[in-house]
Amino acid sequence: MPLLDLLPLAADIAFRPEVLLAVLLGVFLGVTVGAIPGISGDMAMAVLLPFVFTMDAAAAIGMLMGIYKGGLFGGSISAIMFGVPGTPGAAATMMDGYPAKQAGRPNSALHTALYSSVFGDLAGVMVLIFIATPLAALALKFGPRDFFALYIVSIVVIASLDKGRVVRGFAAASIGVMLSMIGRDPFTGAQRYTFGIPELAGGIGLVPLLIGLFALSEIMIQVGRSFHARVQTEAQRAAQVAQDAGYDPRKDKLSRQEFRSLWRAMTIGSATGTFIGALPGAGATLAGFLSYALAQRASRRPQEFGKGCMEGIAAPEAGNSATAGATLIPLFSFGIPGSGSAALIGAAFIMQGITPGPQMIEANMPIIYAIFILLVLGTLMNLVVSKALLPYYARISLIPPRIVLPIVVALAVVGTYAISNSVTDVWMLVAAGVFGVLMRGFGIPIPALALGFILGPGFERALRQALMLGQNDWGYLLQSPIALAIYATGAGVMALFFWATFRRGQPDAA
Amino acid sequence: MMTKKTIAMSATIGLLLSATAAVAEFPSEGPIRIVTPYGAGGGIDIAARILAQVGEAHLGARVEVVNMPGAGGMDAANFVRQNGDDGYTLIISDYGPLITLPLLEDTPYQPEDWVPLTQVTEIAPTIVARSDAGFDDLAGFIAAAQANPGSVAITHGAYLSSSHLPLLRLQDLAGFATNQIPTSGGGETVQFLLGGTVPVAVTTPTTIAGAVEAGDAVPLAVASAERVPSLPDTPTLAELGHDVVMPVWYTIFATANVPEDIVAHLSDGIAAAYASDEGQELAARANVDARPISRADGLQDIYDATFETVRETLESVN
Repeated sequence: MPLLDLLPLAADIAFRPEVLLAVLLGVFLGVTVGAIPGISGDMAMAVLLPFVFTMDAAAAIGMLMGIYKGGLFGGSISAIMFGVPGTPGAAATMMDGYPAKQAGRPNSALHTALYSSVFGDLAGVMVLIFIATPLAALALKFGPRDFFALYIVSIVVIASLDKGRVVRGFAAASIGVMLSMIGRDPFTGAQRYTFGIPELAGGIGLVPLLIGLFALSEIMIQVGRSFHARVQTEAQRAAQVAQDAGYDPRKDKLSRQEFRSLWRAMTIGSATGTFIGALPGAGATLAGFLSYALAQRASRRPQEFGKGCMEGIAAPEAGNSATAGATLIPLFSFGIPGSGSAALIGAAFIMQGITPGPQMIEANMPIIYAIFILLVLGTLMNLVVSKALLPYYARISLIPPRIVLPIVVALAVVGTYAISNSVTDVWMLVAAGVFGVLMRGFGIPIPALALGFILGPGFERALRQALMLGQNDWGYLLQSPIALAIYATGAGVMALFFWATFRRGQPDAA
Repeated sequence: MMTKKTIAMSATIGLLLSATAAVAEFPSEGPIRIVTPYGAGGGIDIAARILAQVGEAHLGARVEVVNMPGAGGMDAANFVRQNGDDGYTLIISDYGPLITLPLLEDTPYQPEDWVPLTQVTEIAPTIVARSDAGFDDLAGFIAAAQANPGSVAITHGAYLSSSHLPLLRLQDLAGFATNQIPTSGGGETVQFLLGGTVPVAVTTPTTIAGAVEAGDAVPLAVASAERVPSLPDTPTLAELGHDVVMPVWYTIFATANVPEDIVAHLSDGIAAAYASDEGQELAARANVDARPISRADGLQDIYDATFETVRETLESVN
């Protein structure tokens, strides 16, 4: 469909009051939960997943993406105000954000964070819009062995990049793949690994697993230890420090000139974040730290970094927000979610009857373009809403989790049940929650397991299809230029990251 | 004075009255639930949601759609089997969960536990070749497969799905063998066909309409009793001398324990709802070729015939 015919159709879908409201709500919710330490955007998306199911596709995806964007910025509010990153992605922002606040410039720091966040986010979305369709067209040429190459490279890259815990990441991804095989053999329909338990014949549900792992396990842990106390102390300490410093609001304004000096840092952050976000497995946290490091190297005043300089806020904030749009590139083009958040968006697409994959864009052009429009609008809404509410948002971080968490638990249980009216799913949710607690306890990365679980069926299918087509000759898997190119790229990316990791020493300390 | 005869008569009249009352009463409470064995957004779900929009005027109660995916449709079927004897809980399904599954494994219900009320639509499994496959009719495909048994690769959706069974039956009756590659569904089936992985596929007319129009794919035959409106030049397998009539239907069922008068009320009401102007308009917008067939139109025979064909085909596989 030519773009000129398409845009009015897409605009018709996007510019409806209920759709715009859903996105606005998502952005607001995202910033709010992002600002509360301990509740991340992922968690909010996981819990709301069953509820967006009844909305139409544009509103549902728009709202979830709003939460994701908002969450990425919201996390930096508590990072700057209290030195507690509200989400892991904001950890790098804290390195200069909190010192800036202590130096009496909280307002400048928050505004720098907001503007860079919006800038980075827009950059990521633009790249998504212009690259996803051509990439998907390329993906239509893929056969089973090419998909197998893509799956195995994705799994290996995801497993090894997750916070540098290579062995644990790989174990988690493998467990995820194995869990995905419980239920029915996709090729013969025969039951397997169900141990005679009829409830397992349908396999493990994606939604209960995701909600349990991402949301319920975190809540279980927080209920166990009083997280509240720590935030409270941090807040009091911060207030004290601000008072001691003799805070003067008149001196704490971000001048136009100062903002312009951040251009270089924001561009570096946006480019880094977009690239990192598009790679499966490397998420907002890595993007933040890498942007920070690169901006410091490129800065005229590198010695100021770590002492509260605005460049040190702009770069990681642009970097982590740029991942929001970019993380959808592999999902839209190949059906491979590159991060936990993209996995949740992918699950929402599936629930809307749209299967992520190379055929997705072509088969659903108006809706996909409506979502593109909403992604841009969501960014602008984030700017407007957050600018207006910035003074209040800082206080949101003080809402005690003991008030928020029970609501989240109730939503998680009700939502899981509502999806397929199945009590089994609720038990799976609880089991996944307990499993998630154990994983967190042993330091096993949860996103790696979730991605292994999501990629598992495609991985298995592609391998078996390829072996059938090659009449059981494993060499067939390599006799494709596309597959070979994917293996080579995967090896290159791995080498690049290991090199960067060893040079920087500890990559993601937070 | 009442004789035995008058007592018997008044009792009969009373029974008749209560029987009429039962029809008049149904539905005395709402809503009527239509359970789908798959998630929201698929073809069956959309077909059900059309009824949810237009059903109330024809059935006398609100219609609700409940998605109950899981266990290949067994969860939904079992739920309706257990809760549907009053006629307020129905299932909309293709033949997979209700016929294929019970024939393959131990299910808590049997094909005869269901009474088909109304068939909503019919979709013809279509055998389609890539335009550079080296053959452009069914005879050419069969000859190529016979020349090199098991070497012509063909994608067909899931194993023993409604796209796979017609292929198996054709292979059995015409005597040839292929390298059958299961896929995740219509999208992947067509991708592997057009991307050059396989020369032939079995899929639905809508998934290949674009490629046929562009000249990238050639439909060889359809597995329905009559030709498909969107592919008027494509012969049916029966026309070509192969007894393979295995269309996929989307049909709404009640359990076999629902009283006969309620069954008739539902069957006619649902058919009227889909046939109404509003129903047809919604269906056209959702790309559903809604041509309702009620029990009065002979739906039971269609169901019985499908059961026999599926049973024979599965026997030929094992």
